[in-house]
Amino acid sequence: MSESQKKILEMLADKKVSVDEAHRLLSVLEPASAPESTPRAATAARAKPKYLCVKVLPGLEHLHDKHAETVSVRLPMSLIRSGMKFTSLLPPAARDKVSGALREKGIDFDMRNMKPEDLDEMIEAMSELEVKVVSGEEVVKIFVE
Amino acid sequence: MKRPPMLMHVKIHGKKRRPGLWLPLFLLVPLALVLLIVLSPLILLAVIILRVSGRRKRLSPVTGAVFGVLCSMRSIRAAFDLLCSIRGLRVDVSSHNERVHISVI
Repeated sequence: MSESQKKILEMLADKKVSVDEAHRLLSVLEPASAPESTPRAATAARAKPKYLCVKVLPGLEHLHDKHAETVSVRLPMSLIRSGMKFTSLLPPAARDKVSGALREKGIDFDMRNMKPEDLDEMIEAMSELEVKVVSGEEVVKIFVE
Repeated sequence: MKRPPMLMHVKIHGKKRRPGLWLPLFLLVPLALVLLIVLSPLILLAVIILRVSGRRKRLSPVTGAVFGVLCSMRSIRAAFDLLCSIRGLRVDVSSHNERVHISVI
């Protein structure tokens, strides 16, 4: 709240101005005191990813192959969120087994530590994600929309 | 508010061009609900038995029943969330002269 707004409210409390006058004054002040939307914030809001896309295209070796297939999958990000919710339904013994198996592969990841806020943060951070793996046989592209 | 998907569009193109198939998923929701209500006593019984017998520390039937009810309610909610979140899913597989396209709307 700005100083001017405080002053108007004080004047209203002291009955120096009527409710209508105070309302009019506050509405005049509002556009000036409204928080400015920074271009960075606008970009962040715009860049919130909605879909995770995976495309598998034939590589150079199979470009003219009649049997070569192209696969394109567009997954809604909400599906990832819902999938993570399912992990909370896993029995503790099964969860420990999964964590143990991941640790054996060198991935120190415990599902219990994953909170919905962390997941949202992770998804937002993926807005610039673009992975392209090119080999002779196929080209794999992973990106967000 | 979360809404379950309404339609599924399936398109299979071969050498001949065929029209796509629109599947009304919204008709399945009341059917699933009826099925859930009919099967709920059996589901509950199965959950209680598994909860009571599956724990290292044995639970009394009452505690097992409470756990069972809570667990089955959470499972149903999670399944509904999952169903709602498949809106927008699109799968497209194509080769030289064939194409399969599935989208959930």
